[in-house]
Amino acid sequence: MIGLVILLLAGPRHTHTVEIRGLAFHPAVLTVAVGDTVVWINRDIVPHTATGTRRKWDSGQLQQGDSGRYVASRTGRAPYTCTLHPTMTGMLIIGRE
Amino acid sequence: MFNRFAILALSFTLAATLHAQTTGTPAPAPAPDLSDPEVAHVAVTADNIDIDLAKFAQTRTHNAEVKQFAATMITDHTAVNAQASALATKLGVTPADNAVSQSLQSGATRARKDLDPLRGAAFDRAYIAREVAYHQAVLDAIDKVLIPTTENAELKKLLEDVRPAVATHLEHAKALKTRLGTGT
Repeated sequence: MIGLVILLLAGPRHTHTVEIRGLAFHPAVLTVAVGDTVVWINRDIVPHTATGTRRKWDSGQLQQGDSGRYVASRTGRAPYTCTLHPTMTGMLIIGRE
Repeated sequence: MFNRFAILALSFTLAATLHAQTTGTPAPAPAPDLSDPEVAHVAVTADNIDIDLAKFAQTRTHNAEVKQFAATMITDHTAVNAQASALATKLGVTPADNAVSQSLQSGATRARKDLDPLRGAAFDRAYIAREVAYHQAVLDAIDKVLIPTTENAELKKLLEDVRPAVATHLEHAKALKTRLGTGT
C-alpha cells in the first residue's frame, strides 16, 4: 500500500529513445524528468557507446542493433559522448518529476 | 552485381591520391579492367590496410589519444569489413588478389617503412597525418565517384552507411593532428 502511494506520488515514468545513426545522436538534446529512462539504440554499422562525460554512466560498446539504457537520477544537464568517436556528443536536460 | 566501373574508379582514385600524397609524384597508369572478385579484394584490402597500421600504431605510441584513435580504427574497419564481406558473399563474389590491391598494399608497406624509424611524438604526428590523408582520399572517392555512380542498391546503401564513419574518422584525425601540433 505504501509502495503504491509512493508510486502514485512519484508520477508516471517515461521511456525516451535516442537513435544513433549516421554517427550522431538523434535527438542530440533531450529533455527528460528524474526517474525517466533513456534508451540508446545503435543503427550504425560501427559500434558506439553512450557515456556520461563525467562518467556517471556508460552503456558499454553497442553493436548494430544493440541498445543501452540509463535512468535519470538527478536534475541538471548531463552531457555525454561516444568514447569511440569523441566528435559525437549529446545532452540530457533532466528536470523535476 | 557490383557496378564494376564505379568501384574500379574508386580504386584508382584512392590509389592515385595516396600515391601522390606519399611520394609527391603522379600515380602510375591505371591497370586494365578488374573482375568482380578482384574488385571485392580491393575493398577488403583498403580496410585491412588501415587495421594493420592501427595495430602497429598501438604497439608504438604512448599517447592515450592516439592509442584510442587506433583502437577505434580497428573496431570500425573490422565492422565495415564484416558488412562488406557479407555483401560480397550474398552477391556471390569471392575476393581475388589483383594489381590494384597489390598497389594499395605496396603503398601501405611504404607508409609502414616511413613510420618505422620514428618514435614518440614524431611517430604520432606522422601516423595521424597519414590517417588524415588516407581518410580524405577515401571520402573523396566515395563522394565523387562511388555514391553518384553506383547502381546496385545494396552496394549504394552500404556506401551511404559507411560514409559517415569515414567522415567522422577524418574529423577525429584532423582534431588529433591539430592537438599534436607540428613539432617545430
